[in-house]
Amino acid sequence: MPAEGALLRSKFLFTFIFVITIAIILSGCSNSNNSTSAKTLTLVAYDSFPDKDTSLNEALKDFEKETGIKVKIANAGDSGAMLSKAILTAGNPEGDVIWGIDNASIAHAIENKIFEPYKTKNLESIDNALTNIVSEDMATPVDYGDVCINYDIKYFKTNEIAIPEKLSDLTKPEYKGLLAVQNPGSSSPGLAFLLASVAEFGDDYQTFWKDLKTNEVKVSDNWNDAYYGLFSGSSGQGQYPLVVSYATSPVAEVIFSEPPVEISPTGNIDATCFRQIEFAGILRGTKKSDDAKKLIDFLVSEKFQKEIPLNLFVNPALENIKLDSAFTQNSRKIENPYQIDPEIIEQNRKEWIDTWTQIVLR
Amino acid sequence: MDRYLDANSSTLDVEGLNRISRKVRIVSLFAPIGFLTLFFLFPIIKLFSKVIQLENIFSVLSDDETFRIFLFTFSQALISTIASLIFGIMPAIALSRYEFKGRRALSALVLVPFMLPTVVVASAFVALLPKDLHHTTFAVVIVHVFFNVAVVVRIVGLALSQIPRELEQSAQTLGASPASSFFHITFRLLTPAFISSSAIIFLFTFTSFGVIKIIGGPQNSTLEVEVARNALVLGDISKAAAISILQLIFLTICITIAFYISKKKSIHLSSNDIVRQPVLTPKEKVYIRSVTCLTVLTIATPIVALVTSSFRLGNTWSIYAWKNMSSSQIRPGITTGVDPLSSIGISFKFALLAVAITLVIAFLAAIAIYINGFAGKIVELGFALPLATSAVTLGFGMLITFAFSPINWRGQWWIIPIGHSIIAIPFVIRTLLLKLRMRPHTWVDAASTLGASPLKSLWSIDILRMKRPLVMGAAIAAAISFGEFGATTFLTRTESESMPIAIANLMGQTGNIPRAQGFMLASILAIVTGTVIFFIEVKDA
Repeated sequence: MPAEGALLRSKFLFTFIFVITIAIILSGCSNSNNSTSAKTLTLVAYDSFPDKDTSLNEALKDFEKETGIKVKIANAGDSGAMLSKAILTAGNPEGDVIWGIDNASIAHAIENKIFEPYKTKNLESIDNALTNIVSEDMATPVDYGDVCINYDIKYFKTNEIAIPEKLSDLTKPEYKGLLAVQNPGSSSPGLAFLLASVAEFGDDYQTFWKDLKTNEVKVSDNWNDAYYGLFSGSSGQGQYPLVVSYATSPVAEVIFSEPPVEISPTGNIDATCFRQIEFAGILRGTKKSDDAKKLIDFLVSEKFQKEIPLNLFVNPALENIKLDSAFTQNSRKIENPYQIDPEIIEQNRKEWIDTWTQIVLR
Repeated sequence: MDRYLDANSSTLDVEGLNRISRKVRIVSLFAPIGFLTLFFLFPIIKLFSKVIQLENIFSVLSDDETFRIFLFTFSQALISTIASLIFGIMPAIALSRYEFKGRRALSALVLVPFMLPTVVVASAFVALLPKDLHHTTFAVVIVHVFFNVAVVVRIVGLALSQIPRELEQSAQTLGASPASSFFHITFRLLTPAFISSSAIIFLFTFTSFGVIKIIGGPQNSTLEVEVARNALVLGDISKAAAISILQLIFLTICITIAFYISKKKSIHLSSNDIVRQPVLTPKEKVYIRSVTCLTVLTIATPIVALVTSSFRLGNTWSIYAWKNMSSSQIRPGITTGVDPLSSIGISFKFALLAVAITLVIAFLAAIAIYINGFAGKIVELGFALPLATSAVTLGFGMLITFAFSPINWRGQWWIIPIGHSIIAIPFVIRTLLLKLRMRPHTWVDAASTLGASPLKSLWSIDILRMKRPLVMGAAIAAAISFGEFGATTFLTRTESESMPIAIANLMGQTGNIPRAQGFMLASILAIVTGTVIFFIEVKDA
């Protein structure tokens, strides 16, 4: 019994010490290469911004070669989480530059003083339609995309129903029970679609949504559930041939498909699109303003911008970027999408979402 | 009877332990309290004091909408807890009382759901449940039961295995029916374990997030979901924090009540270890078989659905995802930006550190709780609080706390496993304490008769018996770390995409390849956690 006890004790102690040692070694290893040199910038971005292995990251390495400034990517969650964190840490930020605050919240970001002013010297090359949205010396537009209704091409063909052409068509009886949307209170495309309805109908957006509810609109909490769980056009086995998604979703259906397909099984309804514009800016409180300015200039340079479409599935902000054929083949440029001034969105967003919730969910 | 049972546990507990000097007792409190204060109390107090104004709290309190959400949160948690207990007790009895072929495998299998990321399991259930059930409270309860049966099997099962069967047998000899002997003796002895597991399940389901978002649908919202919605979508961090603090206060009251009842009902047991018996009567055989079948079926179905989905590309079968595990590249120049294989490595690194931290802190905390009276209770309560705290609040608290030197740690990778261990510690403490509190009194008496000092007998009687619960604790911590998709996802990460985050990122992309890869990773997560636990169960023999 005593011998067994001693054996047990030594084994037990050994395991304990072993685990702790490994832990200490591990933490030691990482600390040693974590020494941030003066020439490292941290780029805060949403989770879907790739942190390695893509041509975007290759472009950032070129930036390092040119300037000697290394760029470290810090993924801060989805775009909502990223913005809230930037607001909480305003003045003592987690990084030096932030990527990807969109036009629905850029006014909120500016109001909460997260940016250090800077006007990029590449401003003239940026698409005119994007530059006057907010004060140019605050945030720089870096890309844009559209949130549109996607439709299942096969469904409308086999059932011989006309594809809806505009928002007001969606409340017609022939489209009853065909549309899936996301909750604007929890999803960014969901909010964009609500904004599209506000842009189209003004105060009558409430009537539109009441009618949509009568027309059995299906609501999911996030894009993923709507697109894969409810939509019939993608790989999912959903029942709804109309869904709120991105203008580039049909492109992605082709590119991320195995075995490869030539033509997308889904399409866009152009007249339902709301424009989302993403901005980058220097985070107030950074100790590396000068380097950060160089990075902002680089983010809107041709070298970086041309890599955006196939990595982030949005359009570059820079004019005259030649788009890859894989990207252009299945997507058209959306003309005259819905837009609302960021200031107005900021003032009314909460009220719109609350009203929507009362109408559609209660 | 006296040899086994003594309803007045408090006097017994102290006997032998109260001879441990005051100094030792106080010192034992340092490490656990220090850890809890630095990594939990400090961050949330800092966040609350930064963003909350009193008027927020009043406006939230008087808000009808919030009250409606509270009622839903409370009722679904209550129903889920009761249902988990009911469904958990059957496998708990089978696994802790009987020895049968495949028992260890079953015992490992039961734990697997608890460790899968909620997002993945909830998605699997969406695919499995009939459409009529989607977005109903009923579906929410089913998924909660699926997750939490493991808690009942672990905690109630452990307690059950410590109850000497002779007790029931002697009652039956004296004329009690098997049912009444079970209810009057075994059931009564199990009360603390029931309360313990109920408290954990209630906490878990009350603060449920992923399950509600996916299964509950947009109509059903819990307070936790409201906190996230306000903080992340509406940008109203102040209101989010106000809801969060009210939730914390409410749950603290609930836990305190649970502790109080559990202390009153606690009955001291002394027994030798595990008394499993072979399956003898035909009735028992039927029971064991049906429990086994049902459990395997319930747990395997969603997991099989997961694995199946990883072999689907659109409408065809394909091994593409598994063949291209180590590559984010789909074709030249096109990548998903997510490297599945490296996320597995990162998850292992996180889990290793989380296990080490959890074991050390939980072990010290359990000992401190055990040898201290009131102060121990406070520590025990303190370690339960992180489970009652909204993930967003804790994540944001850490973000603004570890932002200044000398504790400018928010960019360090190891802050993430620390977050994991904060979630895991309360479970491990519970496992350890259950064992500690079943102290064999005859041994203590023998030890002190033989002249052992109180510390010496603490070491040789209590601590050395901790090996098995510690191994179990390591498994729990590893599994929590693998699947955690809460507070730490609100911390910013640099090149450290763990499996749950990689899964979420892959599933958030359009196209059948990233989706299949997401399911592939989720399958690996299920298989790895299952294997780890299975290995430990087998070793445990």
